[in-house]
Amino acid sequence: MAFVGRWIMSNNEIFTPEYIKNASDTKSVGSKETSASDLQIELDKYSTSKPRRVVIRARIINDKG
Amino acid sequence: MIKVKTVKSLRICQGDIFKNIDFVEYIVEKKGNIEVSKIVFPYVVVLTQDCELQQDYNHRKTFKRGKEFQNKMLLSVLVAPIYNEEHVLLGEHLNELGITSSPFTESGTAKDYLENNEIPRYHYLDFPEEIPLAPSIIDFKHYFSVNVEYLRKLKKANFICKVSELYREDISQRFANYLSRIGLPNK
Repeated sequence: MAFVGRWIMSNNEIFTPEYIKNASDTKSVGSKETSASDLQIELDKYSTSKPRRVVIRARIINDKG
Repeated sequence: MIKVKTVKSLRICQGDIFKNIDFVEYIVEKKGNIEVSKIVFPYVVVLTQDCELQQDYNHRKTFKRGKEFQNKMLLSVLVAPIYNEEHVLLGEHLNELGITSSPFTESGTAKDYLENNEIPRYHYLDFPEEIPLAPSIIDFKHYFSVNVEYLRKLKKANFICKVSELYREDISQRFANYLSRIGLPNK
């Protein structure tokens, strides 16, 4: 199954992970047909692949009094 | 399509692809409060020359035994981020960092240039089916360094695959050419 970045149904509805989670076993995706679990994997590839910034703030506690 | 190896060696190798690598932007301490800002890159590829990585690995072993000088040990490893091609084409690959890039045109010509490695800044990677990575782009402009020990400790959990020798040499040479380019004035 080729990765196409976004899977869009013929009615232009974009699949989301939640949609897939609740989907039945097989869904028609445009001209393609694939299982929901495969589609979940493809979506994971798409959704987790952007760099993100994380800021950590902490307070130094002097436990020696 | 490139060729890759999924067997991990004990040491860091040129062409290794890792997931979830931190790039520390800054660490500040003020009045007992510490703030650390980092960027988590989903995927990076190792660019440091393989012979240097091999020497570093060998010397770290002797360092532990305390027998020799360690002048061939590295302080850091050079890596470059790998972005999802689809995101790059849309100019959205850095939008979670608040950076919008110019999209590639939809005519297909720019995409062809990108996928044929005709743009010096970028390197296209199409992975075999068994590797869980979408078609991707290395951005040579965004290279950064990572601590050697930090990366080595992540190898077990975060290693994805290693780009095979011929393909990694291609990456290495294109990166070197990109870094050594000479900017000439427009007029």
